[in-house]
Amino acid sequence: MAVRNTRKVLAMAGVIAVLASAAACGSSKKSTSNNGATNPVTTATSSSAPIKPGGVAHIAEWAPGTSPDAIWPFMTSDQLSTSNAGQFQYFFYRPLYFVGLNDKLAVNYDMGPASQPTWSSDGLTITVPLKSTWGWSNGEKLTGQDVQFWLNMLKAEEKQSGYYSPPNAAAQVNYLPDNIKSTQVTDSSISITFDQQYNQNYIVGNALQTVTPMPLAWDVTDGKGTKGKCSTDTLTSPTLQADCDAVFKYLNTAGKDVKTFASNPLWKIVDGPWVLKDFNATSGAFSIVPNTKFTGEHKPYLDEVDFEAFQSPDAEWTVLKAGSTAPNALQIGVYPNADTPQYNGDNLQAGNPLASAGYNVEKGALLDSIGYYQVNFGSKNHGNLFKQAYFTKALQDEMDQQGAIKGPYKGWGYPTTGVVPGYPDGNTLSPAAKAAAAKYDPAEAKSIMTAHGWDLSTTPATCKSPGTGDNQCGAGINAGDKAEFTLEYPSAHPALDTVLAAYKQAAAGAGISVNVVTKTQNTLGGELTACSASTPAGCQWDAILYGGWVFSLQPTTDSLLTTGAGSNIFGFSDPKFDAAVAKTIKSSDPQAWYDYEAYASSISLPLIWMHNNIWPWAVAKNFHDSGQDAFQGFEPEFWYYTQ
Amino acid sequence: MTTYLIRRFFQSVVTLFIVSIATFGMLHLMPNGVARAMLGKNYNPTSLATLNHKLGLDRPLIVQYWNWLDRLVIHFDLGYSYQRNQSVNDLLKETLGQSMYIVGLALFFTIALSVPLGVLQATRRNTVTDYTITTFSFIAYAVPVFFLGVVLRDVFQVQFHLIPIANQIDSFHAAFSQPGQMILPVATLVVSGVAGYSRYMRSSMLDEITQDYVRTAVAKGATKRRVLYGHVLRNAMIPMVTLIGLSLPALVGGALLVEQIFNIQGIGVLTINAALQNDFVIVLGTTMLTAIVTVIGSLIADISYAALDPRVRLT
Repeated sequence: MAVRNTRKVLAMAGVIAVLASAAACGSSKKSTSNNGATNPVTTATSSSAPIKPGGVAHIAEWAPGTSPDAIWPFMTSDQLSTSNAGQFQYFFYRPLYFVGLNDKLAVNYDMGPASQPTWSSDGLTITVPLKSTWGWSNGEKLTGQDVQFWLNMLKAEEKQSGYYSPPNAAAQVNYLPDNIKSTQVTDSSISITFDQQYNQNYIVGNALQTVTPMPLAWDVTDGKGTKGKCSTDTLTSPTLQADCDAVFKYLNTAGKDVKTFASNPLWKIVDGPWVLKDFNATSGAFSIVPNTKFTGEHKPYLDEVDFEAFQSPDAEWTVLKAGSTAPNALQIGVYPNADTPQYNGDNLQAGNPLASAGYNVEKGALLDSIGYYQVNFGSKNHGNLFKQAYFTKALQDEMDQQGAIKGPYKGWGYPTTGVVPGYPDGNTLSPAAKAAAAKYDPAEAKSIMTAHGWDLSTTPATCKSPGTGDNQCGAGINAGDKAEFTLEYPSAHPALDTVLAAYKQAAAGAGISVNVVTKTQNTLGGELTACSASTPAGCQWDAILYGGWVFSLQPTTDSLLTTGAGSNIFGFSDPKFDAAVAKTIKSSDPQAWYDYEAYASSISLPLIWMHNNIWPWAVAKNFHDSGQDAFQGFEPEFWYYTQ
Repeated sequence: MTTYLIRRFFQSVVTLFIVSIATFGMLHLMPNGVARAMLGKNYNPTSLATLNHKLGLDRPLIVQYWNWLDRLVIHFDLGYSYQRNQSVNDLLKETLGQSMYIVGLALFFTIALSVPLGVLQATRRNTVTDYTITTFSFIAYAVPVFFLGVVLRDVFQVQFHLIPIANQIDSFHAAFSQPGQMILPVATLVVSGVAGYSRYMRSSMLDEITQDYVRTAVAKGATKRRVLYGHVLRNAMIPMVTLIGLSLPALVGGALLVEQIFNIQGIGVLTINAALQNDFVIVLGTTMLTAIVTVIGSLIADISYAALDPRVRLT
């Protein structure tokens, strides 16, 4: 149910994963569970051998056929992805605040240029102190102006930028930069005054974590180095648009020219721990070496990391099978599903097919994500069916997440419990949310359908009691209407075939006929539009499994589920839900989350929860892998060979 | 001959025109368009409109097609892939070399082996040699390329380490400078190719051996060698020329399965990845290139007929 590092997108409120959200890397913590054999969410692996500095590591972490396609950390909508950001750009250019490390849901102040912020007493102004030691490899010191440069660019290029979201009227919130009233810049800080009070954790962990300071050396309009004015403007400068347009045009062109990623002097100016050494435009393979002028806390151990490109999982598997000491051996790779050992938390190495080849199995990180398939409230054929809370409850009751994890996914997964991820630890979960966690209960599904006036003597069941009463089929459903719909999902995923065949069979037990259809991932992506007069194709689809959602630090669904939100293609609209979401963004009070979770679990959401995957990584026995973080990034500065 | 070539040229232009329209049209049938798929979950109406404008997809289809055709015909510019951020011409340049090298080598060895094998089988029809080669051919023909490739790779590279594994063959230079890395992909293609070609050659030889002119040549005292190689083989090669001519598109079409198995960044992998990612500009480019070479291959085959068989007149 997941593909590794496929194109995923950052949004103001979150990062979206393709295919039910999951991609991870080996973690570095000791097992802490006694019942790990049945509970993969509590177990990880470890490497505690002494560090052997230096060396070149060969890594296969980008999914076959995928590679970075943007190096400038100001991506357009078609470029923005967690792969480009957390698995490429962040090596060189650090966001203001770096969220995650391993599976911790927290801001890691060690990893970025900004220290812990302070807030004004009225809660409107945040002051972000910049570390005095943090600087660029060309000798520039990192200042507030560098942050302003990025914000100015966002303000001027909001139509092009992937980071921009229009104001959310339903939740009554604005996003960067629309929510900024003013900024004040010094050499050692930037103060930002917002239009209203926001949840302070949300501002740091969701908003400012997308901001990546840019060196003033990038404020140029051409290859000759003609100086621009985008960095020196303010957000209200009348010339901002023209000033930034010129710089954007130049940097955007340079930032997507894959052939010059490694040779363009612009991209050699870095503030992260690494600098790009080589980039193969044909295959997407690339190498990074330490930034010798890096002034941050965590300097790399390795001399070089080569991210290899493979054209198929099988080709990667061949290299792994050849052994960790063979020429061109990989230090980190991924087990293909067919060769993944059954998960055994007590002994992760049990059944490891690469044990003799010199590799350990390591458990990937749990992402701050929700897995689901989505239903279309705007579907012209079955939208009314999906709007019934009892019907989506029945659909959820038929989804056997644990069965999927233990069966075709061989134990490598964790369930989605509700609208706020229950795993990994760290999110604010109310007792009500825990009690309402999604569960597999076919008997209840059958009972629900019967209780709401459906004749289950045939499949699909037919509505025999139309009407809006508690024991009737619901608004818009007529007598004789059938409980059926089409669920589309990505092709070429055998484990998904098994999961959805079981789901189809289970749903039939409750009289619900699910017509499962496979299509390519991109074809499904093309179908996903909201039902409207201008996009009538959005009224055609019933249900699609396209991918889950990986959140930013605060798991709010403002970009996904509020009325009119960019990613709300489901035709879902509920003013009370919008208000509950708004509170999670505006208030730091945990009760806001409790209320939101309670309300979300009481209504029909257009999302049917499915499990998230955990990636089984093959890591050379003489190599330490720090693991992917809960937001899909990698931190190779923590990798090293062991003695 | 000149008239024939001119006529064929115009036929080819019409064929390519139809192929281009069909391909261009089909690739634009995607629901909600290419830009929607490119945006994934970054989609919103504004981002879609911006990207459609950037890609020129907000213009009428006929205008888009005309612009594409204009660039192709005037500048041989196959377009720009916004997903790969490279021109299609550059991508083809970077991937075509290694694909042509592998497929070309495979084609050469296939012909070099299958012709003598076919001749051998025909001249020793219904002997142990014939049966043995036939058995081999049937088995080799029945084994799928992907299976054979995986077996060869696992035996020679993984189990016995007889050939080191290269993480990636991503340029012609990488392919040319590592001849060891070419052995298995080429062998995979050759085994499958020889199985089919040798059967054709055998049949063709047997057809010719029973012709009257062979009996006449023998009656006139020609040696067996002269009859076989001077008369029979030349005529038996005619059907093979058609096969070889129609195999030429594989030079630019690549060998997708072999490229995937042996991690070769060739044109086959480029095309399939582009198709999966709805990168229609690349698919259009590779399709057109393949169509052009198919037309040329067919023309070469026809001309070769005339060279091999004086009775054939190209008019």
